[in-house]
Amino acid sequence: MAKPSKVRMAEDATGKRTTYEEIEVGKDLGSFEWTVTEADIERQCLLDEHWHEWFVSDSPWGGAVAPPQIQSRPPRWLLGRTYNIRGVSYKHDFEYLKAIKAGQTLTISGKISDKYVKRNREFMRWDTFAHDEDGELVFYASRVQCMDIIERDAPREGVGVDGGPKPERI
Amino acid sequence: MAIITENTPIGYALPPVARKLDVGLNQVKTDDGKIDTIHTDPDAAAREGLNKPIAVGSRIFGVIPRMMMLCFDDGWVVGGKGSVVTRRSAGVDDLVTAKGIVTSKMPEGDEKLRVECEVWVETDKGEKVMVGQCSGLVARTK
Repeated sequence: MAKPSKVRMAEDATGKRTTYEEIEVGKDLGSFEWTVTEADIERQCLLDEHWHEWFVSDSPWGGAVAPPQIQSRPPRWLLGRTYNIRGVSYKHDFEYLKAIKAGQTLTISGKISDKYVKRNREFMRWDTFAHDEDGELVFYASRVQCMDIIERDAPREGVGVDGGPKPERI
Repeated sequence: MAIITENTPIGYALPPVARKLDVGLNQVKTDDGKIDTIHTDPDAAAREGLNKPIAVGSRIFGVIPRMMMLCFDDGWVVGGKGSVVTRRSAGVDDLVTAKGIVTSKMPEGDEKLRVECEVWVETDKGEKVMVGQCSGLVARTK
């Protein structure tokens, strides 16, 4: 097995890695529409082994709804449209305000809200909002990513394999 | 039927929810796993400073919403709230278990009570890999 790298990655299969200096606090990450399909819901149920009749048939909200943790993916899609950050997930704050219904189209938007250095590693936070067709907030998520597992005084010169941008699918 | 009600005492232990992770769950980029990631490939993981591939964070986290939904039902789907921190990685084939206890109850509006819980996920090696707070809503009659 390969030994763990001592240098940080400067690029990977998806392009140049974003550096801490390039992270702009307050930056608008734009928006996109996400239609939550029955297939998305079923895949989330499979991935988490989380089944409930509300996810496949009727629910108190009228029709099938998604396991609420389905909202954990769109924030990564949103970030990956602007920045190439691999790293590892560190913190996740969230709030589920409305049920997510099968067939519903949500508008996902967000911004960079913070960056900081802790224990010689670089962290960045971004906030993600999902609004329904009526403009009402469906969920909110604020996530912190540790930009590199390797400490920040290691040179950024390696070529990685895995990149930050994610396929926009559950 | 939600397990937690307004009468649930502070200190009540939530029902644990466990699952066995599997590297197949880590194929988040393609179904066939042909794109190597830090979650599937030793070389991709090593280049990021890891000794071996690690579990996907959202798969570890996934046992928490299962536990919270058992406890709160519709009061988790609408009104669920949380803040969790990943302390360390879990192995790709670890057994992970969500656990928690009720820590506080606060009125929310006229008809609901927000029940706050300390939650964590531990592996079969006894390591707490994820810790935090989650809360859900229950009906208030008193």
